Amino acid sequence: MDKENKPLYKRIIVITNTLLLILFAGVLQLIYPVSQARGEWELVGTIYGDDLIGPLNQPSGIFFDEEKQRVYLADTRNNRLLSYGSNFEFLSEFSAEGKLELPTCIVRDSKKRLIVTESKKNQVTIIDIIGKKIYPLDFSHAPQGGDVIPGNLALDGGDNLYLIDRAGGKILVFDNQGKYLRAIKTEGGLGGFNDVRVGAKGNVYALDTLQGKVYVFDKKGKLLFQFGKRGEKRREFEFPVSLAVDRRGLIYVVDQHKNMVLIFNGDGEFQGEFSEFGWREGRLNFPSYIFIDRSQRIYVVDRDNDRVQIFKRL
Amino acid sequence: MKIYRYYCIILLTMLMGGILVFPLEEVSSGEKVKGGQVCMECHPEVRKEVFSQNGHRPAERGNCVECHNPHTAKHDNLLSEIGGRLCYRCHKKEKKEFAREHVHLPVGKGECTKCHRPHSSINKSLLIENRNKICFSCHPQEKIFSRKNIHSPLKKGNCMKCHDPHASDGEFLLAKDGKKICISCHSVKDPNLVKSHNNYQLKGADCLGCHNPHSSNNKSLVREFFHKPFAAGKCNSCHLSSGIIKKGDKELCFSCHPEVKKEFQKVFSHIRGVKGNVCLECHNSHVSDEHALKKARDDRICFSCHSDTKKRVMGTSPEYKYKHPKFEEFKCTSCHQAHGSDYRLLLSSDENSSCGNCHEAQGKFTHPIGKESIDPRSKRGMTCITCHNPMGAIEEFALRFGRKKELCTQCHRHNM
Repeated sequence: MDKENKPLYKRIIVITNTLLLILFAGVLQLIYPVSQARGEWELVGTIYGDDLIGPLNQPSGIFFDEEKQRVYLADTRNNRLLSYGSNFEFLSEFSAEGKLELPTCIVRDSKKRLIVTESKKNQVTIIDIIGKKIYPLDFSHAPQGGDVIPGNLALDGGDNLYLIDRAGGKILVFDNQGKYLRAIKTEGGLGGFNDVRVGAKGNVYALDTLQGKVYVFDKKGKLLFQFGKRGEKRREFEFPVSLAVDRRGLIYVVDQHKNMVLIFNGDGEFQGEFSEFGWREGRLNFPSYIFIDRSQRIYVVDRDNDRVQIFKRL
Repeated sequence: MKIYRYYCIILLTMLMGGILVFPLEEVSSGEKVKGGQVCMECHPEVRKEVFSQNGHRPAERGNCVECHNPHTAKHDNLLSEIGGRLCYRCHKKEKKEFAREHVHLPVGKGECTKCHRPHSSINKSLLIENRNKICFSCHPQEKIFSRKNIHSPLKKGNCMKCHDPHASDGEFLLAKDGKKICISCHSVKDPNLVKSHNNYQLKGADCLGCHNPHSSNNKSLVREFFHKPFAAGKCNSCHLSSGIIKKGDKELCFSCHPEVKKEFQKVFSHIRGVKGNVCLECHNSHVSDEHALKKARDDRICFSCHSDTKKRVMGTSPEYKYKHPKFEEFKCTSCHQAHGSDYRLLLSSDENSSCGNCHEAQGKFTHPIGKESIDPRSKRGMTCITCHNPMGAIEEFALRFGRKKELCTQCHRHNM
């Protein structure tokens, strides 16, 4: 039948159905305001490989140096560190003359030293570009120092280094001279900590993936509170792998199996989430790391898409 | 005399209460029986079955409409509800009891009739088969106890001596905690038992760590494969004379297995642990029935941490309708490296090579894949898992999208 000759009653049915659908979508939106939470976030940049540097290969850690306004990225399988400007334009590449082996995490202290976890060497390497020195961090004074398997890193305002010991499931703290200070751990953890960050007030935030818990410690390592659990609900974690804290104290947790970033306030109350599984820009495929700079830009290492996506709240 | 009065009052109250709860008249000649009689006029086989065997109470009472709708129904056999939902309408207590961490698969799926008959049975609890045989209808004996020496309760088919057939708080549907179940029959104070364990403190020991509760080719049901120092009686290789494990935690294991240490020094290191020797998270240091002295079958070890993956993959979600056949074999390590890997998802090589190991034909003849075939969505080289989800998918061939159109239009939007 020709569209123009459609009887009136059929047109009324079509219009009514459309209105009902809109109403239904509205009700759904009220009940599950997911898209609203997603809509608050804007993708402000994406770091890919290109013809000049070749494709990224399983990037892992990322760090933004506020002083130099530079992004440092550990391009793990390519055994190199990459640096980008504040608008994510490529600047330089560093591989310590081919000596870097599987760099997985990176931070930069106020003395302009890059501190990098090298998985293959099972060590944390300090790259002092000004002093033209590269040397490993000495774990030997830490309890069971020979057993340490280093993971993610974080720095506090005094350049103290917080290092995840994957084998011991704890956080080892070193001062800015590399001297071991103390360990932070919990009792009865399943698998121990997977990631660590230090908030603006000096509180230490740690994530236990297998328990699905975020732990918050004070400067001295005293447990203040904990929250979170693994489960299927919206506010629960499936497989959280990395966390970050913004200047306002909001805690962002990357869930690798949900392919989302979940947001909690300073009391651990769920605030919302953004992104979802996928390949297109704005979506995530096995994200592995999160970092937030002072401009509130959120860097998510989108590992299985071999890229970094940078989000910002609208 | 006063006390007799009280007894009389209590008895009368119970009698009245009983009549109210179980109205005799209704059972013998009430409407419901009439209803049942009507049904059984056409279904005499049900009447015969119900009254010649142990009958289900509603069926005995002729209360067919408790489960069936006599006129129309959405479900087969005019049932008013399907599976467990029908049973739980009356069996509310059981529903509560079954809400535990480990649930027998048919219970989880609401398939009560896998084990129970709905009208009657010659067996107790309306079981479809004798209590001593019923488990073997799904769990064949040759798989469970194929070895020479068999645990005596199992010989008699008394599986329920150790297992709860519905649900349990512990693994393997054990009726009690794994560390307590053995001592309910085997006293830890038995001098023979103590002597055979070199006077080792047995209280609180994990018996199942070393003994197979079903069968073994070894005496005393000790598991099949032995750690070499243990088999040689060289306890001091790992223990101090006090029995305590030598210092060094995982370094203790690496001192004899240095090649394994390198396996952890990868992009993705699977090392995890807070409880001392991390190797013991997955391996048994003395004996095991599994290759490499693994504590248990791959899936049991892996899912003990990857509980969300277990729920997704082993659950009934249609999103995981098509699963990789290796799941049926419980072989996670067919594709994933247990210690560490330089490749995504702890695969043993890159995605295409990993799949190509088994799928030889597809590895040679396929949609273009590799570094040169760029996925326009992620700007990354295409791999097998760009289109397939090897863990499971809603579409046939474990495809992420429908292969008639949606899969292709993900990338070829302008060609359509």
